Amino acid sequence: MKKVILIFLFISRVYSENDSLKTYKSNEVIVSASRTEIMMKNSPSFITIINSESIDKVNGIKLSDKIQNQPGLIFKDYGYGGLKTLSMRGMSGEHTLVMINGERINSDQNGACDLNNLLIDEVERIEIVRGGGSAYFGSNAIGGIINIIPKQNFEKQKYKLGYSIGSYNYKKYTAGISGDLFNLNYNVSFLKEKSNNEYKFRFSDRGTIFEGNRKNADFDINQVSLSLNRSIEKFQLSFYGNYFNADRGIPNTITSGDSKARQKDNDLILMLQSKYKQNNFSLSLVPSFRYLTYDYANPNLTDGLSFVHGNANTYRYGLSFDLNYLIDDNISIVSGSEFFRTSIDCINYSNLKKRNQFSGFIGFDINQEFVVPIKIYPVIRYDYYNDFGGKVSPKIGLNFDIINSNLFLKMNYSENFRVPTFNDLYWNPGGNPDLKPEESRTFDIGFSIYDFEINSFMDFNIDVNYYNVFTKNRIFWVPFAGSLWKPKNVKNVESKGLESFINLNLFDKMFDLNFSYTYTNAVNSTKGDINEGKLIPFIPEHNVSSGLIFNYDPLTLGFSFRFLSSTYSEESNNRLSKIDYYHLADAFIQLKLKIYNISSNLRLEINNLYNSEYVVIPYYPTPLRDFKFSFTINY
Amino acid sequence: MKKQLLFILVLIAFLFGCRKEDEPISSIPEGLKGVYVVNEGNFNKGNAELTFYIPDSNKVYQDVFYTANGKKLGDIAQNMYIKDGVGYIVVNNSNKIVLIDVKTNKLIDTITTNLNSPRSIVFVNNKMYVTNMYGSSISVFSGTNYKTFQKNISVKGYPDEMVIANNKIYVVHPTFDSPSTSVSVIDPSTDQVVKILQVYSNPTMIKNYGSNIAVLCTGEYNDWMNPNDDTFAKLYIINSSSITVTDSIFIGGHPMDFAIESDYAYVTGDAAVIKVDLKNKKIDNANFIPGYFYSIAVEPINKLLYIGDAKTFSTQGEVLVYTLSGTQKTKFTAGIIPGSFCFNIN
Repeated sequence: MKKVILIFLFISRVYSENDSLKTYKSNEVIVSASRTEIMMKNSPSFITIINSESIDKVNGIKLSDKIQNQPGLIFKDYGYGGLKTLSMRGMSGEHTLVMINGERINSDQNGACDLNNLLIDEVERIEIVRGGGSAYFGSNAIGGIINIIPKQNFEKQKYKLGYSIGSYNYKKYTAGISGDLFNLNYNVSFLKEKSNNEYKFRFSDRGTIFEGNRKNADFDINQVSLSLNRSIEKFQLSFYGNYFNADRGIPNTITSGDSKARQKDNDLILMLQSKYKQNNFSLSLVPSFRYLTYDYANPNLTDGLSFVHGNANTYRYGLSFDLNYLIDDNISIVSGSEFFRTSIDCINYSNLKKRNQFSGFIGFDINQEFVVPIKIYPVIRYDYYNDFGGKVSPKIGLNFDIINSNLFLKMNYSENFRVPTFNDLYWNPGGNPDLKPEESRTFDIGFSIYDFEINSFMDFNIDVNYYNVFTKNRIFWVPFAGSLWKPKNVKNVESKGLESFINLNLFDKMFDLNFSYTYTNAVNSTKGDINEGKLIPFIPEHNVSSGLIFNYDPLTLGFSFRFLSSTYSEESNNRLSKIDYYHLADAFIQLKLKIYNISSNLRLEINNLYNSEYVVIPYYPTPLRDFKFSFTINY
Repeated sequence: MKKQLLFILVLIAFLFGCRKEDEPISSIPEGLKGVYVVNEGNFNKGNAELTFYIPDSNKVYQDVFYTANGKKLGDIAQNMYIKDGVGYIVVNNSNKIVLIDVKTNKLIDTITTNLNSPRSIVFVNNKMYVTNMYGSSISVFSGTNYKTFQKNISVKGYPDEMVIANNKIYVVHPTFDSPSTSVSVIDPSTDQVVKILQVYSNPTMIKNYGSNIAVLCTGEYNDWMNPNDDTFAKLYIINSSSITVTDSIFIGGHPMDFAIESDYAYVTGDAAVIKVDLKNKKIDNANFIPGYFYSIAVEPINKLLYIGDAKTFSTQGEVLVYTLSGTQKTKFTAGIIPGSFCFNIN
């Protein structure tokens, strides 16, 4: 057996020589920090880039799996296969802007994005930007931004096939083909994931042990995506289309019996990007279309005649225009405008509801030398919504190159907002058309050390950041009259915290070690409120995550660990609503082999390695240890 | 190497994870008479609890069930009834009825089968009748602690509150999508629906009024954005000897709860407790006790109004105690959403 592995090692070393070329983290490109391509080191924000190489070095396939170990990200998790939203910097799920290629995908109905409904396939990189970004991207960018950048240039004539099996009848199939046809670079990929998902769970709730197999959490998800790309000299035209379809059970709390509720989702995204690039300016025009639908039926709630039923169709047409102009070496303009028209036809609205939105922004990237090189990013944006008027969002970001492109000081001030959702405005009954947008101001300051080489075998990266986010006019549904609830702009929240991250590379990335600690203090700061001074529910104060990746071609081993301190499920921080702290670990082992033109990939994933018993949302149990085994070939 | 790393990481986790122990809870004296406040708790949060108030000493005990049993009560406690020294607590979203000894508050038993979103209970002819809101039925139990399931009686919609009058069971069963307007009458000797009476949209609450019955219909919003298509609350009187609807009184708004004492009904309306003169079929005082309240009940011995204020619905609520003349006697803190009362005072 040992011999076999050694042979594999040898084969692979021969074929992977090019992989060992040194890549500098600081030179990685990011677009979500300032809406134009800049290098990570020049950004004023605390960012994380998960590139196509590191995406494989994490368990799972859903977006939530791929980013769950990143510094300071907190998930509201209703159990595997259920809803999972992301909160950053003590905010809520609807304060994280999630985008694909710069195109927002947060629900217009509830403002949040279900990260368990996003499968990561053929992705160039995932960008995580912490802090406010309304000045570049508009509503919802209060806690931070996640931007998924799909792959655009594919290798010539390549076929991909993959198959995975796992615990609880888990099966995943992937297939893809890419190549060039009449100078058109194309890729089509298909993905199917299904499981009865009757995972084992066990947790203790103050004296009562709950254990068993999760019921009605099954899922069957299909995703097809198509990318086309053609460049003619300075002109580039690319198309991206993604269709997602899911049929799944919606489980209940464990105390309220087995659910029979089911939901069907369909999501179609189409984008056509045309770019023109000259020496000193670039133009981009992106028309887009999104069609999103869900259909929910709960036969548990039968009145003997019909089911309880939920249904909505969202149509959104968009047009974004970006113009970047380089005035001279020290100053360039970043500007653009967006138009969106959204209409939602929902069973719970009295008729078809529409929203038109127009935005324009202008910003500058300024290079200055004052003792040290300084980059200044001022920007201002105006958003107009036909249902409640205009909103101005300014931001200024600063980046000081203090020591030779190794140590940077970064700071930002921004004002951000979140618009009321369609449900807030139009839900029948309760919807409140008089709502105002939530407003926020954010300040952060920190430093980053990039690619600091101790010796030729060892280098490290460090980020340390302090932030303060104040949000007012937070929208909450409050009792109104009779048994009726109505959303109102009633609360203020102040969140401050510390984010720290260290990454250590040993022996040319043979060992890649990450450690992060974040402290979050998110408090209800509404004057006179009965819960003034209390912690915001479900936001842990302490969050530790760490990971170790060992890579010696063709073998990769990964181990990740995270710890989250206890939280409260109630705004009053009632002692009986305390949710215990938890920690859990995941691991994988992967073997990449390449013989002639066929490369194959064998992989074993273990989730919840040491069978941690925990819940994130009370009575929505999470899985105990499970396994996934996958085999992929590329030809 | 890897093992060591794991150890270090786990160690760090425990350093951050040191838990403060829960503060000690003072025990509740046994065998005292008092008032149980049934706190619903929030949907799917499993934070239902009982508050116990002793009027003689003016003492209040919170989290009574957890204190006595070291366990949580469940999700959405709807009602509590006392029968032969046993408290029957209907825990709606946990699909169970929890039985406690009302002397000690200790758990005796739990009924978990043949229930589908239970709402309320009546006891008659040595049988226990439980409405199943999502089962469109009433489950009948008998035997020791009423644990033996006997049968299901079907009714339309979402069966909710029941009362017994003239040896018949009256049950309201509203629907939310297409408004139902009916009240079903069940004969407990045959367990058959013997009559269906028509009242008005959304009959959600029913109480005894002397030997007769009063039904509160809360009306409909219809299209929320259009205030012109609303229908408003009305109170209906049913004669229990003829089993017919005899009167109706316009109340207005969309009230939450009501209680009856002698010839007056006390309705928790949109802006105040409304005092209704049932004899003369008119509103006696539309602003009897100003405020928006979630629940109301009359304590039968001293004739006091217990009024539940759910406040923000996510924090501790409050109970206000009033005399029938409208003067506040006292108030005390309760749990999350004080939704009903159970009097253990006689």
